[in-house]
Amino acid sequence: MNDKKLSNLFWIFTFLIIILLSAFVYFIIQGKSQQGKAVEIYVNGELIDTVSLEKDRTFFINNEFGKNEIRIKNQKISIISASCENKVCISQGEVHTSTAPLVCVPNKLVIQVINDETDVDLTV
Amino acid sequence: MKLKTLTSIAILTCLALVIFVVESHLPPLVIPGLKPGLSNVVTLVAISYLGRKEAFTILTLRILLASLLTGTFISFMFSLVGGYLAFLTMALLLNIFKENQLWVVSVFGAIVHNFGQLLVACVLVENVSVFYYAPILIITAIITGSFTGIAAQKSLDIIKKTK
Ligand SMILES: [Zn+2]
Repeated sequence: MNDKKLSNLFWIFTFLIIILLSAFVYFIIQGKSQQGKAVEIYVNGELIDTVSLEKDRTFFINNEFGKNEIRIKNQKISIISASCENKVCISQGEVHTSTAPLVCVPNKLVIQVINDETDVDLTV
Repeated sequence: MKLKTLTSIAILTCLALVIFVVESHLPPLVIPGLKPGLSNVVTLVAISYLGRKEAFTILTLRILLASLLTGTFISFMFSLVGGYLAFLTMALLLNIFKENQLWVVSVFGAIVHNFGQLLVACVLVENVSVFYYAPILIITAIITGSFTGIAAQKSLDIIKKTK
């Protein structure tokens, strides 16, 4: 076996280990997250509201950057329409755990599911 | 600048643009606005075949022209930060790795490319929670990086043979 093959094997192994570690970390994070109780809504890095996931509803988040229509249904939250240019936020689908936030980069919107039962106001 | 170099730059820029446009029609990665960075294959070929300066020119042209075509500030920022970070990484690593190990260089380029984009997303929304996506991004980078690296290697082999 020559140097090149050995070196390639080394890197294949290294990258496989990195993939396994990443998958492991990802599943650990996922495993830790249970059905969320509420969501925190951030615009431009600022917490603007906390909304319960217990009640189904549809509402809009309007800000200087744009407009997003949010739906809460069966304790899952999703963005169903948006004024942003790429609509990637809509393609992220439904979220119900704190694992990954819903993000709309152009409209500077982050929706983070939280697990603790806080005082939730239903004013949005 | 020699005519041959100029022509090569034009052709490679064209190629990078085509890849970029095709890529922007693929379904998005799990992450907001993120691209897998397939046009890195052109950067890689350009660095090894023409040189760093020429590769830098091609990358800059591609980013500027692409932003004229797709025309959004966000996608411009993503490809600017991701593209230059990947370029820097690959330009440095090509000193260490031999020419026949482009795929390793490419994987590192892809990882840095994805992290650059994640950083942009993080700054734009001013929220660190987007880093939840880091593990998935690393896995994606290793897969697409290997793919683009092997593609670059094969292209270079053909270019050298026909020279
Ligand atoms: Zn959006």
